[in-house]
Amino acid sequence: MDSRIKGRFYRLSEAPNGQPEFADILLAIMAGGAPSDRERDLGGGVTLRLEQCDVRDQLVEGDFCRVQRVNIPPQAGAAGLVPIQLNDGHGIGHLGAFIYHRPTRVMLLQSNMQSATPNRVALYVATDDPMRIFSLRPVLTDDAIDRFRAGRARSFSVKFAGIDRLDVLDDPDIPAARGARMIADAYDGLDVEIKVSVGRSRDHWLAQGGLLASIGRLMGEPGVEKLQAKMEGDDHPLDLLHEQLQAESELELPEGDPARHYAVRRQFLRETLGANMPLIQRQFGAPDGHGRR
Amino acid sequence: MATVADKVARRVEEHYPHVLGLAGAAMMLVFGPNLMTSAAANGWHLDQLYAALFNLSTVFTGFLFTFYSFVVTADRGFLAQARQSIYLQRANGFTIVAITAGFILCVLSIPTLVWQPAPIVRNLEMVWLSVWVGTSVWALLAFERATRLFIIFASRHKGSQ
Repeated sequence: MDSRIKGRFYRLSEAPNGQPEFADILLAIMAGGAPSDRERDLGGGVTLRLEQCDVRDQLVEGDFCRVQRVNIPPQAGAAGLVPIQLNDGHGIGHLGAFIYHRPTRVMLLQSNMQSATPNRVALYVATDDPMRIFSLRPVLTDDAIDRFRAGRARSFSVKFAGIDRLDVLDDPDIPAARGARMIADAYDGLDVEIKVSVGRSRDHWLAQGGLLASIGRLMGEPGVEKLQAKMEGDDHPLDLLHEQLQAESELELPEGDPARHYAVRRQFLRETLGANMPLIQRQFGAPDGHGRR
Repeated sequence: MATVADKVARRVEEHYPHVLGLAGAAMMLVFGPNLMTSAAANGWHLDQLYAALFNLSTVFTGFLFTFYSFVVTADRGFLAQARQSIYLQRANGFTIVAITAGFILCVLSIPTLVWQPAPIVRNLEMVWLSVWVGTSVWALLAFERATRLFIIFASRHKGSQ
């Protein structure tokens, strides 16, 4: 694993009615048995499991592991490439640590595209019960929030990505000519972009409260490809999807010691969360544990 | 969800070139003597018809093969995105049928061009001519079906590059 570790902040949605809280679901899965019992097939050849999960005061921290059992890369030696020999049923473990703050529902997730991405985390908790739907939307940086709150928005645009797999529209009972037109229409969905603007009129701005609520709902939605607000006086629009709160550090990760390896990454996440806690509490809640929105 | 009309249209789309090809051959066998007698009386140049169908089939087959190669090698845009869809897979299947039909028509037309059959009674010559007419109808309709689908896919692909 690369010794440069990056973590990104996400805000989780509230638990759906009648469903347990996100952290309680993770703790219940963790208590469910051996590591192999915690594995869930997320589809597309991705198997994810919760490797560690512990409670520490108001925090729940742990480690996700994506178990790769197919398409194993070779080991590269001085003489060339040699296949990696794994025991039966074993796979390569791609790790992604996390730390979750219950009161604000903010999660700091280690960025590792091979392991647990926000989408995979949401799928993981939904595999046992499809009603457990949580969305993870990026937490904005202080600078982006300040610019947004201090300024006056003159326009706001959102672009939706259409479906990226047209074969989900397959219906063997309809003629190919009609099916071809249907998937062509669906493909056109890739180009949908909505822009709300006050136009050229001066002394008019978009209502900040409504705009913040809309942005809050749209952020973290997997289909949203672009989310920008143009503030008065700014030359460039505020890119709300890419102004995400994140941290990066070069760590000394021990080789051949998974427990210490996790401990080092967990410490990085703890320190990062602690350093950003004032900002998180300003945005999402008071220290007494009550979320603001 | 597919309606009954969709299901019927799906069956029609799948079978009409073959069914109408067979019907064409059968009609030639039944009405051929009268038709050929009338053609002889009016001095129709059937040799031109054989040559025209031969030329058309060679052009169609070449065009469809180019279309097929373009579709299966497109690596971006709408066609690449639609590759896993059954509709494009079915359109590719229709194209292969049309190429095959065009090739068979081409091969059958060569001896027909040499032979120049013009039977006015139901004999072996009429059977051959009926097979050739049926194959022509089959190949032309298969070409029409594949081309119609190609136009739908290509027109959307054009703006997606």
